[in-house]
Amino acid sequence: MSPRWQGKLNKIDDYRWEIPQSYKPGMNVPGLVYADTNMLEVIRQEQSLEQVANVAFLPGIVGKSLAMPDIHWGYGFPIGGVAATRVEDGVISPGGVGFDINCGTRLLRTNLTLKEIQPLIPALVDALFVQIPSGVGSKGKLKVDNKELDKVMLQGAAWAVERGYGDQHDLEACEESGAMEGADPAKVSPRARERGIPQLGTLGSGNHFLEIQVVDEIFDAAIAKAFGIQGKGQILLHIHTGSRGFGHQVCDDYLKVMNQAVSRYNIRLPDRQLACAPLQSPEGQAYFAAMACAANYAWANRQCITHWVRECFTKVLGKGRSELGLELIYDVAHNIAKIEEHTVDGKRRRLCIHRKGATRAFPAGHPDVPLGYRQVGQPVLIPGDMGRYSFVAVGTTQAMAETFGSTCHGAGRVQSRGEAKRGLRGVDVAKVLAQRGIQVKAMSWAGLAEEASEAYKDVAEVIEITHQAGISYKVCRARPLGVIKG
Amino acid sequence: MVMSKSREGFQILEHTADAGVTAYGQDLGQAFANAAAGLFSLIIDLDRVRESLRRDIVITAPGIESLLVEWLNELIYIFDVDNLLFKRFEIAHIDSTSLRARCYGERVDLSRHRLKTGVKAATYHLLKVERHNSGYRAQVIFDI
Repeated sequence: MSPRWQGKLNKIDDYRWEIPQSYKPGMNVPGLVYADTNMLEVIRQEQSLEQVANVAFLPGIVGKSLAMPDIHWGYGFPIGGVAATRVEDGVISPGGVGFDINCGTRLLRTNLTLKEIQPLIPALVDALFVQIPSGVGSKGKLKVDNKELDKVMLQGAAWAVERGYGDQHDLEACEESGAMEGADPAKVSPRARERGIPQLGTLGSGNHFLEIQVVDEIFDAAIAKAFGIQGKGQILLHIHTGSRGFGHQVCDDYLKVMNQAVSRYNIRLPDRQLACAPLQSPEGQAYFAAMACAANYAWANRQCITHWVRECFTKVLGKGRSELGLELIYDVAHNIAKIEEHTVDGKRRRLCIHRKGATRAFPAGHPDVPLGYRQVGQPVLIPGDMGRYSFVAVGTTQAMAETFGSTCHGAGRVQSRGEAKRGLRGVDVAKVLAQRGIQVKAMSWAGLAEEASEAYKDVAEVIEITHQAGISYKVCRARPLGVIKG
Repeated sequence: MVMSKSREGFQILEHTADAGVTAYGQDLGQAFANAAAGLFSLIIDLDRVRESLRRDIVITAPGIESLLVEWLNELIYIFDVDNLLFKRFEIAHIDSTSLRARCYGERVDLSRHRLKTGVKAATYHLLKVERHNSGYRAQVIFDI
């Protein structure tokens, strides 16, 4: 185990704790952690709060170095961190986005109920497992060349929709409408292309998943309805994946660039993995353009998978699309850097918001929230672990004021992968889940054990803190019925 | 962070969301070779890998620690693109900014190989290459 973090925290209220700027010389802003006393004790067991303090070193950081309640120890940046830097003279850091650029989740609603679907869950899980490539090194069934890949990088989800993989409504229900501006394929290396071409349209491994879920609790019926969630018993489909080897290579390429940039621009950092460059520098601009390409690749990836999910449901259930529903509720990124406008100290500013394991949570009325949800706020999708439940929440004005419109992204790990594997075998994990009515298929049994419930915090505790702190409000809860793991 | 039992010149470091390797060697080359074996041990049970092909690799980097990251990321790239699994590494040359290696292994065969975990990349976090007793120690954390 790592040593317990001994640093000083000032209690602001029951859900907010500050790491004072004086904690470490070199911090440009204080840190702010969203947690209750119980969660804080869990967080203190490792060094993630030291990483929150380290992020505060980034030149041009404004507000506070933020930590969501699902924070855990990452490499450089903590996972569950948010950092905002000034566009004019601040930095951009690939480590603040991570290797899996635009790893994110999307949620589909169906017109199906638990009663009609229950006997068909094993058949659906089998069909999804066969139709959607998953696992370590999985290859997709799409045939794209370099020219076509350029279009993926520029158009994102719209590239897939143009090929018949979805419709206009899907794009309207995506963060950034499924494609970020500023992408430039010329800034992407041949190696990233080589890794990206065969992996488009694959789920991958690790914590990525497909889940058939059933709504089992409604906290805010009016907002749930606005999201198309009518009540308990409704079936949802949750997809979690990112930009695969394409994004990993983009991050790796630019970490090398940034390591050189750090000395060129005389930037002093406590951890090399925080390597960064001024956003306005050639290095910063190139990384942003390449990152946007990877973000768009991820949106295209989730869009293709969505299409195959719809095909599987249509085939297994023998019903048409309009009867099934399977419309996109929303798609959010939780590893990304975006240029956004926020108010800091009473002034409107353009900022580069790094969300590393954090979800955008914009409030009602914000122009970036799709029209259909603008009266209630942006849907926030918070997956939990495969044995318990996931949540849907909604963005708030409080988040806009305090966290640059951000909230948590999931449960957060408490056990290392090795610990989880020693305690459990994948086969047993699947058996226990089956006894509880959850069908699981995975490419790797070891991988499955690493993802067991025991390895994660209870996402209900995480979501309760963001709810009480007011940075996102819970809307409904859904438990898994069928799970596909890579 | 927990260390698992030492075997074959490396230990697996456990990190909450990720994993790492601490590798040892009488010389730098051996430490780098063991770090690479540690990487592949995360992906697959090394006993399952045959030595049926060889791939030669040349790496240059600005310093010895970057060299370790770039060496391991080169292997991850080759695994991702060419589906090659390696189990044995001969470091023909190493200095603080360059490395030449012969890597022995085989192509992934899903009928025999059960892949455990995907490794996204080697990171610069807690990265160390240092003298240890009479030899060297190399430490790296991977994003899993």
